[in-house]
Amino acid sequence: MWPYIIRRLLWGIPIVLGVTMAVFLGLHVMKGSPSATYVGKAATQEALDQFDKKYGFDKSYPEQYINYLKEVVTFDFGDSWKNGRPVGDMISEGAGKSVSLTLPALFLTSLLAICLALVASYFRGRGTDRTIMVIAVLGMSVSFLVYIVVLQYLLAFLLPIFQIHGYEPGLVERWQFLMLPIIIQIIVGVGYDTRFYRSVFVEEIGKDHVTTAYAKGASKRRVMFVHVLKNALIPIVTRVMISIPFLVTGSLLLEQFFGIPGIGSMLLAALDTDDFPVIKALSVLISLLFIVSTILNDILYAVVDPRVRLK
Amino acid sequence: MSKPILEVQELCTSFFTDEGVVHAIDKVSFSLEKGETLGIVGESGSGKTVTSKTLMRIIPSPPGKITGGKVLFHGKDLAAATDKEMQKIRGNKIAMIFQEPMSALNPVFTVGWQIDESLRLHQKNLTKAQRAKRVLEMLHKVKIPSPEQRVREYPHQLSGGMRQRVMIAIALACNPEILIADEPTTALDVTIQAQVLRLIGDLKTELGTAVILITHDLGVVAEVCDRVIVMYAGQVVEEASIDDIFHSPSHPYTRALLRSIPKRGKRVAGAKFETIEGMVPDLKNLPKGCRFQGRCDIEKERCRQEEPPLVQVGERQMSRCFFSNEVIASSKDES
Amino acid sequence: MSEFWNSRPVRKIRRDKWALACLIIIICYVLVAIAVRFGIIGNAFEERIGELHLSPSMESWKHWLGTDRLGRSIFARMLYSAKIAIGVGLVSAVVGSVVGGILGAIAGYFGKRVDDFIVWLYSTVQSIPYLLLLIMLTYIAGKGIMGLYVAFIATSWVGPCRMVRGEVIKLREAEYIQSAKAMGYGDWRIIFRHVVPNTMHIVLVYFALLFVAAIKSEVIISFLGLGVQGEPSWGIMIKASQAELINGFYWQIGAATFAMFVLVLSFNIFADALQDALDPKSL
Repeated sequence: MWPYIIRRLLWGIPIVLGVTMAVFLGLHVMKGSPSATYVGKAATQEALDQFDKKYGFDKSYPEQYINYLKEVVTFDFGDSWKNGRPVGDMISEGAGKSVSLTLPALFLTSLLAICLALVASYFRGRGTDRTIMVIAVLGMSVSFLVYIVVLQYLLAFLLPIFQIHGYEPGLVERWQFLMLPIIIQIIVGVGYDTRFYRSVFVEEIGKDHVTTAYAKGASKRRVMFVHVLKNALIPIVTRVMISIPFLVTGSLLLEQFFGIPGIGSMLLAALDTDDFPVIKALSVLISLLFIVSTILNDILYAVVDPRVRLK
Repeated sequence: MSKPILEVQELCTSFFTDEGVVHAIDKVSFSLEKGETLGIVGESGSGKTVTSKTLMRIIPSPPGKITGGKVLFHGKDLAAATDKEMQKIRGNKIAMIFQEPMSALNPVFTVGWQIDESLRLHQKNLTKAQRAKRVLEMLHKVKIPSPEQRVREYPHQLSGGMRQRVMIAIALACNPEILIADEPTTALDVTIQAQVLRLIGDLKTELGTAVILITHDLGVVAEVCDRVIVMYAGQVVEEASIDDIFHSPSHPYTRALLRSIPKRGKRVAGAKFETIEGMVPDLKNLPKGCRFQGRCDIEKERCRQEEPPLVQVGERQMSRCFFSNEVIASSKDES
Repeated sequence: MSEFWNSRPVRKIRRDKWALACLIIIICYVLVAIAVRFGIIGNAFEERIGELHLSPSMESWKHWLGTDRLGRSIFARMLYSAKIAIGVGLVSAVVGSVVGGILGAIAGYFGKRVDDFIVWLYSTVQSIPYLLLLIMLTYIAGKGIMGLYVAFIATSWVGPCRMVRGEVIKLREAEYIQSAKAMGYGDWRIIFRHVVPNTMHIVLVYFALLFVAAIKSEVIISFLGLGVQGEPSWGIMIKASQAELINGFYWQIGAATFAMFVLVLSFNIFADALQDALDPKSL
C-alpha cells in the first residue's frame, strides 16, 4: 500500500505548482502591483516604485514567482498589508471559527442526508420516496441567498430565537451565533446530498449481490443496513472527504452575513482591499487542503474497499 | 408417483414499465418432486430466469409483479406468502445460485462471513463456534482447497469457478429442499463448467436436494436433468422426460433447438450450420395465435388464428403445438 | 428529422409531461431575455415610476410588483434580470460543454502526454473550491459582467471534460472505434464522427447542469458586489431587499426569489428527465 500512497503524494506536486502558477498569473501578471491602492492615488512615482521595490514587484516575473514558491514551501506568507499582522496568525485564528461553523454543519448534513436517502431508497418508487425527492428538488431550487436573508429575518429578527449578527470567541458563547448559520447550511446542503446518496443506494440495490442477499433470506432492512450501506461507504466517504476543503470556504456567504470573522470573511475583506499576502496564502492553503483531502480520501477508500487495499 | 414438493400453477409475472406492460411469464405450470433435477431451457428473454426469481419472490418490484397463479411448496402458496414467511423459506428451504459469480458475491465481506450469514439467518440455535465449523465443512464439501485460508478472503481474490463454489456453499449451508441454479455455468470456462456441474450433481445426491437447473445449453441438460421444460416467449411450450426431449420432441421449437446443436461426424460438405431463423416476439406486443409463428417450419393458417393450449401428448410429455403428433413422428424418423 | 423525433430519448422526454412543461418555462425565460436584449421590454429599470416602496398594484404593468427604494418598477427589474441570468447561463453552458467535451474527447482518445496535460489542467482548476475560484476570477478580471463571463468560461469546462474523458477511455476500446482505426480513418475524423456523438448524453446533461449552476452563482457573486454593475440582477435585488425586509417590504425579495426559483426548478427537473432519458442503462 505504501507505493500507492507515495504515488498519490507525488501526484499532488504538479497540482500545487499549477495552483501557485494560476494564482501568480492572476495576481502578479494580470492584476499587477496594487501600489496605487496602498500608497494613494495622488502618490508620486517615487513612492509607487518604493512600494514595488519593497514587495518585489520590480523584479522579473520568474523571480517573483520563485519568491512566491519560497513563501509556499516555508509556509511564511509575510504580513498583511492592511493591518500588518502575520498572515499565518490571522489564518489560524480564522480557521477555528470557520471550522466550528462548518464542521457541525457538514456532519449533520451528511447524517441527515444519508438517513433520508436510506428511507427514500428503501421505499423507492413509492409515495415516501417521491415526497422526499420532490422536497429535495424544491429546496435545491431556492437560492442560498434567499435562505440566508429570509431565515435571518424570520428566526433572528421577527422571532428573536437566534442572534442576528456577530461572534464571541468563547467555546460556549460562540454557539448562540453559530446555530442559525449551521441550520441554514444544513437546509441548503441536505437536498443535494440526499439526491446523491439516494442514487448511490439505488445503484447499489440494483447489483447482483443484493439479489443474492435476498435469496439467502435476509430481510429488506438487513439488506439495506448491512449489504447496501457497507458497499455505499466508499462513495459516502468520498463525498464527505471532498467536502472538507469547503469547510473553509463554503461558509463564505454565511460568515459575511452573520459577521463571523472566519476565513471566508477574511478572504472577502482581502479581495476588497487588494491584500495580496492574504489572498495568496488563502488560495494556496485551501487548494493544498483539497489536494491533501483527495489523497486522504484515496487512502481511506483503500481501507474501506478490500479490492483496492490488496492491489 | 410421489407427491411433488413444489407445484407451480399458471404463474404469471408482468413488468409494468414506461413503455408498456411486459408479460414476462404467462401461465407457467410445472411440478418438482423430491430429489429430482428439472431443467428449464430457453433462449434469453424466454422467461426462464423470471420464472426462477418469481418462485423465490425476488423480482424487483416495482416494476415487476406476480399477476396470477400459485406456487405451492408443501401445499403452501408462496405467491401469496408474507415477506416474513418468504424470508424463512429463502436460503433455508429454497436456495438459489446465479449466473455471474463475479458479481453475485458481496465484494466487501469475506467469503466466510457470507456463508456464515445464511446460518445466522436460519439456524439460530447454532453457536458461533458451531457455525464456524459448519462454514469450513461447507467449503470442504464444495471442494475448495485450503478452506481455512479461503474463509478469510474476499471474493475478488478467488477465481470465477471458486466463487461459484462459494455460492453453492452459501446456498447449501442450510440443507435446502430445493436448489435453483440459474445458468450456474454459463459464465465459466468449459473445463470449470463440468466440474461445477458434477459438484452440483454429487451434492444433490448426497443431500437429497431437488434441483431446478436453468440453462440455454441442451448439452448441460442431457448431462444432469431428469425432466425438462422448454420455454418460449414466456410460456412453457414443452415438458418431457430427458429421453423424450432428445428422441421424440413434440414441439417444433424444441426440435429446432436440438437441430442447432452441432453434431460430430454429421458434417457434409456445403451443409449449413442450423440456426433458428427470426426473432423472439416482443412481449409487449404479442402476435395473435401461436407465439412461435414466423419462425416455425410447419406453420399453418390455424397457428396464426388460435393460440395452441398445452396438451398431454405422451405418458409424461406435454406440448403447446397443434401438430405435435407430426413433430413426434418426424423426429423419430430423424433419430 | 423524424428519426430524431422518434429516437428513444426524445420519445421519453415527449411522454414526460413535467419535463415538457419545464422546457416550455425555460423557453419563456429565454424569450423574455431576448425581448429585453432587443429593448422590447424591461428596459425601464432605472426609470422612476412613482413613490418609493409602493406595494404591488394593477395601475400599470410596471406597478404589478410595486416599487423599490428609489421608486423603480420591480417588475421591470425582475424581467431585466432574466437577461443577465440567461446570458451567463448560456455562455457558461455552451462554452463549458463544447470546450469540455472536445478536450475530454481528445484527452481520452489520445491518452499519454496529451491526457496527462489535460488531466493536470482540470485537476488544478478543480482543486480550488468553485466559489473561491469564481470570486478570485471576477476579482482579477475586474468587476462587472465581463468578469463573470471570464469566470464561468474558465471553470465550466471541467465537469464535462472529466466525464467525457472517462467515457472516451471506455469507448476507445470499443470495436467500432477499433475497426474505424483499422480502416485507416484519421484520428480527428474518428473523434468527431464516432467518439464525440457517443458522448452526447453526458454533454447534454452537463449543458443543463452548467446552465443552472451559472445562474445560481451569478446571483451570489452579484450579491457580493463582484458581479454585474449598474444593472439589476436577481442577486442585486435580493441584496437591496435585505434592508427593506426589516420594514416589511417583501415584494422585491419575493419577485427575485420567485423568478429565480421557477427557472432553477425547471432546469433541475428538466436536467433529471434528460439524464433519465439519455441514460443508456435505463433501456
